[in-house]
Amino acid sequence: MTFEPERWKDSADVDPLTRDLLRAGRKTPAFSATARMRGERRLAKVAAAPVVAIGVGLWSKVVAAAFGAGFASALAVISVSPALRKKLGGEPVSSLAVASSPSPSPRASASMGGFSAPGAVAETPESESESPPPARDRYSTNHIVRSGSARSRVPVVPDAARAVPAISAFPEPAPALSGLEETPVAPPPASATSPDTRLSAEVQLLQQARAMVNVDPNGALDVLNRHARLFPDAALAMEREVLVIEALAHSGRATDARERAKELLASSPGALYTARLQRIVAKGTR
Amino acid sequence: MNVRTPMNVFTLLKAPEETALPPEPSVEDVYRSHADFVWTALQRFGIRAEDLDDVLQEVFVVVYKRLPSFRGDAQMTTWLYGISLRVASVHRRRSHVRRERDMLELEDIHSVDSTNPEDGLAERQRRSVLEALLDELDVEKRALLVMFEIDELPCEEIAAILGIPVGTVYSRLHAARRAFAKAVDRFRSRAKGRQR
Repeated sequence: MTFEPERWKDSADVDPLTRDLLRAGRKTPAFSATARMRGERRLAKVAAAPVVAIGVGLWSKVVAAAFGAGFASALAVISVSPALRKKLGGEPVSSLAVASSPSPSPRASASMGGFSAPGAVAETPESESESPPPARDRYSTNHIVRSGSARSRVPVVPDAARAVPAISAFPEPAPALSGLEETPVAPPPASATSPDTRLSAEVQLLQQARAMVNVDPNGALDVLNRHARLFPDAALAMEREVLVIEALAHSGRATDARERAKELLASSPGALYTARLQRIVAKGTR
Repeated sequence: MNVRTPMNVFTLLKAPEETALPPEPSVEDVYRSHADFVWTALQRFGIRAEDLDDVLQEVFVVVYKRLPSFRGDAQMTTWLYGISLRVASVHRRRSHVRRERDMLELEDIHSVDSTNPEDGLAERQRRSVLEALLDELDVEKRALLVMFEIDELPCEEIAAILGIPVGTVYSRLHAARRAFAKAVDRFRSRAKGRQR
């Protein structure tokens, strides 16, 4: 039996006011099921947006400098407030810009000048799910990297840059930290007609992949492959590459994961996920 | 310039290598198994009910970023406790204005009670005073005092949460009690000062 000090609220030797105050204390309430669910939904969005949503305040300058205007405008789109989005004629969606509807509103399309993402119309998710490619092609992440290399890609989101002001105009906290709204996740639109919708679709696909990386890495690679086909010049190519590397590592393809992690580290040092990648590289070499 | 070399598709399809990474907990796994622990810890650090959702999320954003560097040297709970402590400290510094407002409400309570504070406080008032006095302590002392005196955790359990020896729990409890006793003294002299 270990020694246990007497609690003050049970002690006769303690100052009465101190004792009474402590006795009035209520035990710490437990975690309720509804609070757990609220937190889980918010967390899913944080986990799905590794670079975009986390620490935007701290990283926006670095990211904008490193990845060019395309990425900067992606960040701007994501951190824009719902009120401002309305003003700009876009859809009043959540601050994380996750599309809540598979089809963009006609008003948004019109106001964005009917922007169509290159490659986005070439293939629909439905056609993919109906006829899955042969096994040998399924995990061809070759395609993912080549078509959307974060390094070689040319930023192609000038419309987004025009549509929303620069990041610095939004001193709001990062959406990951507060104000995340609970938006149901819908399948990505087959063809994104505005930069906003396009980015939403990108975020959504990457969210799906992120949720699968640990439990079903091959499935995650499928999703990432689809992302690469739909968005050959993706604004979030960097995030996709990180997820591909993680999925490869989790599916046992450590050599490939290591090789690609090294490439990404060499091309984009100082990124937020450097520690994650270095760990994959280190593990692979042990 | 670092140019990617074309990768053979077949290299991606070979059998898992021996160097395959062991499964590691994702942030979602950590949330599922430990969110209740963090939630409770944050309340003991003095995070108000209306802020708990936001602060919980801030903790898990940090967990998400730091999970790759968690090596398992410490218990997961101890690691999470440390992160929660830092996030809660930052939050409390940010919300100092609101705490000052709470102190004003506390003074209202005292002004209503013009008699001796020793026997003039109703249960609800005592609870408000307790909360305000606990908030005068630093977050670590506050949490320790709440764990031992209010939640009535055994010292062994507190030691496990903090990742420290039980002997250290005793000495920290002593320090926390002293700080609380001083806060009670300050409260008493403020109340008496108002009586005059």
